[in-house]
Amino acid sequence: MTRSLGDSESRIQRIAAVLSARREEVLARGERFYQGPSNISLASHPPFERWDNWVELDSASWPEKRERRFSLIPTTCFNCESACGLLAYVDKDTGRVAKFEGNPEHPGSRGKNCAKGPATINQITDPDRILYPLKRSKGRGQGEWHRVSWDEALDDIASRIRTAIIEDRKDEIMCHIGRPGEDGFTERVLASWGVDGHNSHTNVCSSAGRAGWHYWAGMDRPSADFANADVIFLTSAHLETGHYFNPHAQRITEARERGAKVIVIDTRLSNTATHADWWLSPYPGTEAAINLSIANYIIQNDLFDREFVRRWWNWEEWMEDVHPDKEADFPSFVEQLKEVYKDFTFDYASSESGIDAKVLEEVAVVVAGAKSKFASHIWRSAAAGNLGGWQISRTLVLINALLGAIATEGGTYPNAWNKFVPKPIYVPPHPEVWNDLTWPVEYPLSMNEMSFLLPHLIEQGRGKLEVYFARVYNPVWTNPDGMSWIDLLLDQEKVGCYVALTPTWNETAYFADYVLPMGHASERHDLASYEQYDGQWIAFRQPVLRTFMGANGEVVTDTRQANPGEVWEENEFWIELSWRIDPDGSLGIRKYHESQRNPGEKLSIDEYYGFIFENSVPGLPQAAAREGLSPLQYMQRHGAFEVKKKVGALYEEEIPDQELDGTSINSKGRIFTRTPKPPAINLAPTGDPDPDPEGRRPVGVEVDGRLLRGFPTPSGKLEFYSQTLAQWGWADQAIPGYIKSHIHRENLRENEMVLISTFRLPVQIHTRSANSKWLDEIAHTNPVWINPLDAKRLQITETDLIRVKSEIGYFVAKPWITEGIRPGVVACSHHMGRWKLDPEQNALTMRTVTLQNSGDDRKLVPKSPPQPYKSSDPDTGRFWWKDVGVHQNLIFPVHPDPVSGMHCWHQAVSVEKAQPTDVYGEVYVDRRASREVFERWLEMTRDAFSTSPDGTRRPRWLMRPLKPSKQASLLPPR
Amino acid sequence: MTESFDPVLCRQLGEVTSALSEVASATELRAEIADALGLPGVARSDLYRLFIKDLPPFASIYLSADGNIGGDSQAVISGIYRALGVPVPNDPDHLSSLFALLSQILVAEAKSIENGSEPELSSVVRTRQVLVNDHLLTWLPAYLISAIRVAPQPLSNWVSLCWDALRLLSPPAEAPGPKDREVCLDQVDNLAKLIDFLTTPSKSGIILTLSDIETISTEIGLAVRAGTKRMVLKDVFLTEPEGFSEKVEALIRRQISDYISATAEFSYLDAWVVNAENALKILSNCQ
Ligand code: SF4
Repeated sequence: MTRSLGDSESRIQRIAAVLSARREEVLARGERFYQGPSNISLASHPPFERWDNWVELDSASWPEKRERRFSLIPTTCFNCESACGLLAYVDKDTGRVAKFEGNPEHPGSRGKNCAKGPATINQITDPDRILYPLKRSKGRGQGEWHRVSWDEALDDIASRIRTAIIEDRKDEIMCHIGRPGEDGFTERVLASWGVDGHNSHTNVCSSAGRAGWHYWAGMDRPSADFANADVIFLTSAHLETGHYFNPHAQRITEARERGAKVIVIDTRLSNTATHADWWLSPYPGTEAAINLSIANYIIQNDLFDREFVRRWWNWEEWMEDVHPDKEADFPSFVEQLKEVYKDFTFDYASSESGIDAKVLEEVAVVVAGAKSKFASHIWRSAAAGNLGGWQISRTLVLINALLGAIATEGGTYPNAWNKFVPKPIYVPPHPEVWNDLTWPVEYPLSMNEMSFLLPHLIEQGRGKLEVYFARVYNPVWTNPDGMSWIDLLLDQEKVGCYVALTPTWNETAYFADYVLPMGHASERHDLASYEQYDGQWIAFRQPVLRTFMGANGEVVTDTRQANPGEVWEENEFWIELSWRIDPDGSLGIRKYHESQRNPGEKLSIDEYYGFIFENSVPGLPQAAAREGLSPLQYMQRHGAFEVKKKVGALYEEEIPDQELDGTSINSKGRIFTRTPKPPAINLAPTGDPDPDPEGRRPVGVEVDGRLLRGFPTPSGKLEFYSQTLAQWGWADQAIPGYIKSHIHRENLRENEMVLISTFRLPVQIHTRSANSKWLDEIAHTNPVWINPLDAKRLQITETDLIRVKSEIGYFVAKPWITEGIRPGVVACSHHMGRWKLDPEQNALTMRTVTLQNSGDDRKLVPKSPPQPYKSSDPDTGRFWWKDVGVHQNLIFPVHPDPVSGMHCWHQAVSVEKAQPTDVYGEVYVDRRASREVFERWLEMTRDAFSTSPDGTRRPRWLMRPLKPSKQASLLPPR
Repeated sequence: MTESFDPVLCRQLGEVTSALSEVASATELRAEIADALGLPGVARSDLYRLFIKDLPPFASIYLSADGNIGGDSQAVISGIYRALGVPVPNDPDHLSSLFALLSQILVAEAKSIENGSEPELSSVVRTRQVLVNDHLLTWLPAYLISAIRVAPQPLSNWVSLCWDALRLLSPPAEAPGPKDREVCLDQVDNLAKLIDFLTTPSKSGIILTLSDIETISTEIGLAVRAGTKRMVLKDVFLTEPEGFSEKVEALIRRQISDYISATAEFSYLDAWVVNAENALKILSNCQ
């Protein structure tokens, strides 16, 4: 800086001239050139650079200007599966979280949240949350508890598990996962114990939607590129107001602003439907017929992407297996394709769905016009409601596959390509056992565990449980036929020890032996990644006060030190439990939970995540180094990292020569190689096709002479024709088709209607959000939607109570008369009708009830509505609502789809005025009828004994959270 | 004291200080601005390193009695916005805010000259001088001297441009002279106090950045823990007191010599020299 003053002046002049010229250009475009410091204050989010010391005026001190200083520490929302970023505002003076807002650094949610994200503050400050480990003092379900130490609980549980493992009763250990919120930690814990004990909620949730995708692409979910689509097609009641709500909704909104068209198929007028260009309200269960009429229009008019279909569909297999008498060339295939779908006219779809054929045609024209910019999505709802719902999903993928809108900009990607699951420090081998309670032989093609059948299977004498964990899960309330769960849990012969891992009280925890408090979004570690656009990201959930304390010099080695009471997190819990199961390492378990840095010591959370961030996330160490941080510190500070943008069509990727040693190619072009699989760092689950007879692994597929990566399916292509379905007894369903639902008009008795029970409200999340006072104030009840025409026919007014009767029982509810539902159908929302047995227990949305048992009769009798009460939070004395809805799921028998295994939620019900003695919220269930329905649906199955082509229990290539060894996958002797 | 600038120079300085303010705000930087200022390839991580990690450009850090952001020194600076009737920004003492304000004042100055409005002009000039003399020259030269040492390469032109602008804005003779400082040697009698002292530039006269501490630690073979500057300092002092003190002394000497070579232009640096020399004594006393 030894320039003369004159030099300084001329430099300033020169630069000012350039700046002025640039500024003029930018201003001429109508943009702002200098953002100015005021922009920082007015920005929607505090800029990252100021997170360490963010100052805001304390609103409660107004008009006085009192400054509050915050450390903003990122974490990940734990309410729905979207895993949006949150920023915890930790008050530097009090060391407490003051509020949560969005994390602008998160590539999926981009700083935005739905109401449930910020309501995390209610969950962590809920005066009635569970703060200490509890053990029951009296008989199960009698509601008396005492506090125990973590040591006592851990030792008891660990010794039961250890004994079961040693005595080779591995099938008696089961962990039932509600909201996973993480990518595989619990699965790996179970794998380390050598048990096939993973159970999920997926078969009451999304199995059917997944199955449709999986049979096509070997990946089980859509990742729609909404933001770049021209046409958005949503087949889901609640998709964009419930599941994946915020990350999807914000991109759909952007697309609409650009002029994209939105088509919503939903019998009920959902929030998304109110924003759609076309709202189609079909008779439930006919969605596949609609999809096929659109597909048929595209096929018959040659509007499909011919090259894409020729190159990427496995049409040759179909021709060979199903039309061996025809020429096996593409033109003959197209001819057969036209033939097979020709009856799915708009008139036919209209007669099935009740939607005007002209409207269907109008929509088909729009869909066909979108070409590769057609983004479709399906998750629960229609797929989850109906027998054969998986075909609704499969026929939707058919439209994408016809248009070539697979992994294109504005199209739909398979999820695994837009997801990143980094390889952890240990990957224990999959178990040597097969659990028949979760994967029974009747459901060889089931996408996920047959979780909701557990009470019935155990009742049939197929097994029992020594230790059953329900982790952030409430099966008594959430699953169908909840009374069967109560019966199961009350029987200590069948369930030796039930451990509820939960942050809050719920209906099922009431029947537990141990209730162990787990943390909310800001009180636990997890790693998440979900498909939300064409890119890959990871998000870090962390106990924010632990991070805050660490940054202020305190040494925190256990999340309980930072959490309220003795609330823990699962990662540390599972590590500790595993050590106690195998204290000396002799069972081979401990080694998966041991520090690599300090052998002989427990694996710490910092080492666990530090390893992942240093070794398994490309680009993260470099990004961290640029900021002078370690990769772990980077994630602690930013909360999320985008691994890749624009992944693109991976199936078109050429296979590098290094992977092509000792290859063979079968007659369909599937390439197998002897080169071992390169070590993968992204463990996002996909199908895993079998090797060839010589043991070479499938590596790609030959297309027009080029060796390409293809899809993780047996054929390496998109499987229009599923040889798997055909070989495993379902040849009649091997191509996308239409299965008439169990609630199809033909299957209803006179006066029966269809009840849609799966729709969700945008501000609640199952039963987990019920301790959020803000959310409860917005939504706390669930009247039954009923069309005015039906109300008139049934002589029902809104001041009446109604009885809704299913095959196994009835509930008493309030009607809401609305044109938002089509005639002949009623609907009742999820989330509501919460109950508790203990009158002393406080709750904002739970009524006190009694349970009456007599023979097979089960009755839930309301006693009193929730009452305001005194607590550390004055708002609990102020809440005003008494009507908390009705627990409808209790009267739903189990309806397992014989192919996908999905519980088919829609119900055939009769609706009538309540009887004079009926009480609002009352529920009656006949358990004998519940068993009969189960047996009836079981008869629809085609079990592996009669269908398995190779003596295995299930096609090995299908995804499975834990994948038992080949030996364990063989069918047992009959 | 009431001398105004040439209106063209006023506008030019206004333009450049606006751009310099944008950089200091450390948010996304427009490519056009980065290009014009000659900051090739400047990345967000560079901005982070300089303005967040090493040298947060809040006047209060360098002027306050405790080395923290906010407090009285920030409140004093807020006064100038109020006096001008403009809204007080969230961070009134951040260099980004101060340069943005300065830019507005310079443009107003140019306008008053062009309009020939004398009373208005002399008030604007006075405001500019208060802003520059009281709120920038008191700390910014010392800050920039440290920035030369630790700024990532792509930001070096930002530092030198700030320096150029400051030179043009401050005739050396008109800057206030050094003030007496009360530095009582025996006040610093334990490690906590020493650390407080070293991290309070208004007392110690030195600016010790996290990068400095990391560099020194590496030189003496220590790994640096994560944490705030105070924590890191405590850690290294406890682990390697002598080796570390020696290196810190060398750093102070270097800063003193840098200050001295610039005092001709920025006479306020005299005060920094006095304090830094005291710091040397305190450090050797502690040993
Ligand atoms: S959509 Fe809402 S509930 Fe789901 S993760 Fe995002 S903020 Fe949380």
